[in-house]
Amino acid sequence: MSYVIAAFLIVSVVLLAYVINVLMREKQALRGLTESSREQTSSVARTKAKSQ
Amino acid sequence: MKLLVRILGAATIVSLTVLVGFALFVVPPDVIQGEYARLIYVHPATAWVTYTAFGICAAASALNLIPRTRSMFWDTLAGAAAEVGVVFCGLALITGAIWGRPVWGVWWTWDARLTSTALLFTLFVGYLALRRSSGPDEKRARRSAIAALIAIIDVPIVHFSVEWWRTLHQGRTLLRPDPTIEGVQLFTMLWSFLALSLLFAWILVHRFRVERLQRQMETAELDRAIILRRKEIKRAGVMQ
Repeated sequence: MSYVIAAFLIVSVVLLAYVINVLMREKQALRGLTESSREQTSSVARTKAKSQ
Repeated sequence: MKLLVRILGAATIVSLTVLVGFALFVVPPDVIQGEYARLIYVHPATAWVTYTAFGICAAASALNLIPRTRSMFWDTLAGAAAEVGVVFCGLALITGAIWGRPVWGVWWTWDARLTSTALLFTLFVGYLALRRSSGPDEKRARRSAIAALIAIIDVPIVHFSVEWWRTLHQGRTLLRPDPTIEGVQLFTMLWSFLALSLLFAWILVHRFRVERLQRQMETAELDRAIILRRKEIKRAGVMQ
């Protein structure tokens, strides 16, 4: 039975770790994109203000 | 779409819980293999997901190579499916080794099924490495798509290896005229296919999003770099 429990444990831990990894990467990419678009918007606003 | 993904996530958790309950507590031990037969509720399903993931990767790669359907969408899908497939392929190899030790007496043997699966794992790890190579996106996508179509040739070899060669690995259990499994064992095995397929679909959706967001971020960073460079050039012109 120990082999069976070991197999189920390994599968559970690996899949859980992978799911967490994917979700964290998604969150990080989303944050990076939001920050980048915010910076771009403020840069455009600054350029506009200068030209006026 | 968000609601659908959430429903899929909830269905995955429920089906996995049911699977663990049935596999470990409800199904009685096998007459021949005893408790070790419980590994049939996880090992074949991981192999099934591996085939599906690499199949999706190859299909998306083929669509990306056809000029009429060429799109970065297919390349993104192929990359996402390949990564998930590699994880499941690794799990199929590990659970297979854990099953092999008590039943065959060895963790690993150079059997046709095992060797071709290890080759499949290596081929798709190579594919993922190729996707990370530098160069224009279109060229990289084309190179990767060709690699995926070469690597997928190994999937039928893995599947039919137990029939083409004399192997230690057991033959088919389900896909034969007289299945060697029935009752609650058959139900749990089929349930394992359903549960891991749902998990695969859920991970694939999220992995696809990661790939797409990273691409958007790269484009946004490139745009930002171009704006900064233009500003520098303008400033240098004013100074002169």
